[in-house]
Amino acid sequence: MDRRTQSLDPRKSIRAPRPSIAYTSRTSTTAASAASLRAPAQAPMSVPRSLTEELEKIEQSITLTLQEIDHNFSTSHRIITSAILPIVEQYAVQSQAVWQSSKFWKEFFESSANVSLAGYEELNTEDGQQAQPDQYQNQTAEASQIDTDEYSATMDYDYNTEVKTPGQNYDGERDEDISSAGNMTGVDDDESSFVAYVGTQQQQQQQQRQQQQSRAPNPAPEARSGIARFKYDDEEELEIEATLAGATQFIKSLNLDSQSTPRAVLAERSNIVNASEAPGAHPSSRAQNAGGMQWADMVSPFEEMRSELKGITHANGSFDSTNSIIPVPQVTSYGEDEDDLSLSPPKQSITTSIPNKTAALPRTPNRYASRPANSTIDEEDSAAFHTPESSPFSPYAGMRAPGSVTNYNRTYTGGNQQQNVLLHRVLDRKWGIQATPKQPKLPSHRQAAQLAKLATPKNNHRAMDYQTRFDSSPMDSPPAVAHLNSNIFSSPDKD
Amino acid sequence: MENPHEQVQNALLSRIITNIEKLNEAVIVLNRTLQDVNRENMNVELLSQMWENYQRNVLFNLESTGSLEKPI
Repeated sequence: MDRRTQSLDPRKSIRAPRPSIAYTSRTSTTAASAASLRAPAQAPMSVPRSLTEELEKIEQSITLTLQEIDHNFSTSHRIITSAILPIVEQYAVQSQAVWQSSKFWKEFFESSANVSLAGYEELNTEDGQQAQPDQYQNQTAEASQIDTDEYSATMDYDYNTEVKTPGQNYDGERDEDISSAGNMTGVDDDESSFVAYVGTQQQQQQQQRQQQQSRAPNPAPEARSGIARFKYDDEEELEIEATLAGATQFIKSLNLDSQSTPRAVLAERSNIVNASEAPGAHPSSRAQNAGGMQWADMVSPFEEMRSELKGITHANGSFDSTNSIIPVPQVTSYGEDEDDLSLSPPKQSITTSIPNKTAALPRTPNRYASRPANSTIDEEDSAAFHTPESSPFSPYAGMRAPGSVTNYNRTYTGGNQQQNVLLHRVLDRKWGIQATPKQPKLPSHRQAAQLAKLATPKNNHRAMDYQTRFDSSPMDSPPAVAHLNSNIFSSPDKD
Repeated sequence: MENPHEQVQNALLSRIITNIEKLNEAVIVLNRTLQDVNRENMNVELLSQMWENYQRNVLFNLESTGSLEKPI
């Protein structure tokens, strides 16, 4: 048995036994080496052959298997490269087109709901870049999981997750103040969506928002009477903010200037603002650019109208309210409108600051951002102050829609003073069309008011031109946008 | 002791390795593309959720105000 086991072991271990040895080793020898050769000799002659044949078979099968594996891999590679990848790339193109088309609405909701949902894309790209060099396949799952987490987190509210940079800080606080000063209507601060909030600020703003919400459904007179109160609330809030962050001191003074101090100081402040914002464009637009967002389509109609209205502005020497929705009966209200374009004085200063309005003081492009929201409300306020029955709409809706739309333009256009004048004007007009479903009633009212107010036939003619132009296409997209604004703005806060 | 099968198998193995490398590259590209697509679609999905939320809000408001009309 020992010999047989010894003889079996070499048979296993020898990879390619030579048949010749097995054939010739029939004679028994005492040598140990011969013992190993004797064992196969006891077996039949077919066994060594079958061994070699089996080995050959095994080798061949191994080769065939390897060939098959190779073939399968090459086939899979060919399928992936030739069939799947083109389809996926095409799908990517199509989905990109879908996203490009729907990007507007995402920004729209972001701006209207005061949240920033841009965290997902940025984080995803960062993860992708980090994931590429090593362990790509594991990283994709992790990245997707992280992305979904971030995505769900940013879905709710992004105030706390946003990183606070100085530029953003300033911009956010300024916009917040501006919009809160401009919004007494319960509409959310539009531009504070790209803003980081300090905790106390957030609480204050929530309280303020609650106040605004509670005030929102109130009738017109109460809302108007609440203007001054809200502005003073903003002042208090501004003081607290200034104590919180040293960088916001000039913001406080800026906003306070916008309420009480003359415009010359304002110009200096705006220069400071520009100096602080010098490295880039408007901070909001910078944030938008960082998020890879575009807002070109919304601006185009205004840009189109800008040149024409610019001509009107230069021809008239000053911007009058002939085309504005709310007809302003007195000459002083013209000046108010022009003043409103640059700053929003409180009610007490409206009447006193009239002589300053005709003075064309230098206005910086970035400064205009604060104007539309305030200007619409002040215009509304002034209009209501002088002609309480002039507006056919509720002041609540009237103040809400233009402020919201101008906030958009303030954020995404990055225009200049002339554009501001035009946007203010056009948006007012647009609001009149969009906010009221009663289309036929509007033109007659406005035309009558304008005809009554306008002194020169030239202005009257132009006003009628724009009147008819805007009324002729009431179902254009811009009115729909602003109309949706008013609905959407209130929804996130209710949630 | 040169086994011809071994040579063939070595050649096959190297070929397989090459094919796997190419396949891996293709899969990486595919994964990247799918990741981009997923990112795009995530945003679209986010948007759809927004619209859904908006629709729910509108529906709730209309129902609460009683001004919801049945479809024509």
